[in-house]
Amino acid sequence: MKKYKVNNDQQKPSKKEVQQYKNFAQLKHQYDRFTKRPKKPFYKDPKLFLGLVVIVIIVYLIFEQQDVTIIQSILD
Amino acid sequence: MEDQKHIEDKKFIAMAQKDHIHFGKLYDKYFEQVYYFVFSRVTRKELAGDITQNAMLKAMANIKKYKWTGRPFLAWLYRIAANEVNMYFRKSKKEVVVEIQDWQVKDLTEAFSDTISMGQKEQELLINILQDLNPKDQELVELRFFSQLSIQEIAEFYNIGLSAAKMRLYRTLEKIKDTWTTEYEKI
Repeated sequence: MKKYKVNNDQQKPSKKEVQQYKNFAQLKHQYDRFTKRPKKPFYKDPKLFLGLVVIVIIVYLIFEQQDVTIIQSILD
Repeated sequence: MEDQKHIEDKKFIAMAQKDHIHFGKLYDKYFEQVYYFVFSRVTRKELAGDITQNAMLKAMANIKKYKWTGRPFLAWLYRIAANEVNMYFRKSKKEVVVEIQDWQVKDLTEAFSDTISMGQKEQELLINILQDLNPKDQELVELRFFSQLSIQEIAEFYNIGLSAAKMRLYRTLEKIKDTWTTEYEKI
């Protein structure tokens, strides 16, 4: 909420004071951070992580099945 | 002279649109004006610095979308800065005090009446009226009387014609005058 108040002591900042707030290097750094955000590591993305776990389980089960088949054929 | 300024801006904008690093030229040229504009609205030095920097960041991020229409580039920067200021006021949970000076109150009073002599009571009444205005009217009053923008600059700011800007200001001043007339009788 905004409120107005009369204060005649308030002074306009001098040009020198304004220069203190001027910093293009900082702005550029903020811009780079804003536009080139690093990608999330896969383990921090729940969907991607879950997908990878499912793939690993499927691959494991396939190999496990193959092993069972090979042992079965040897025994037979 | 004015045309030369526009040509230079057009060149800088084209460069910044190709590579954002060239936005630095526009930043150097307009930072001070944008800062003073923001300061006139928030009246806090450090806060004005932060808001100006945020506004410049938004401008830099959106420079590719900017289309040259012949209107001053500064008006576009003012628009972004004003949005940042309005966002700050909306988000603020605490009451934000905007400090104004006697001469600004006097300027505003003279714009709707030349017979009022300003005393303490009159000043308080005008401030109350100002506080009760809707945000759009408040913004217009601030642009004209606190930021000292000309009617031409206000027209450029709102991207409207000169006569539309005059009319908008006239209506806002009429609103203030009407409320003043009603309320002044009570004090």
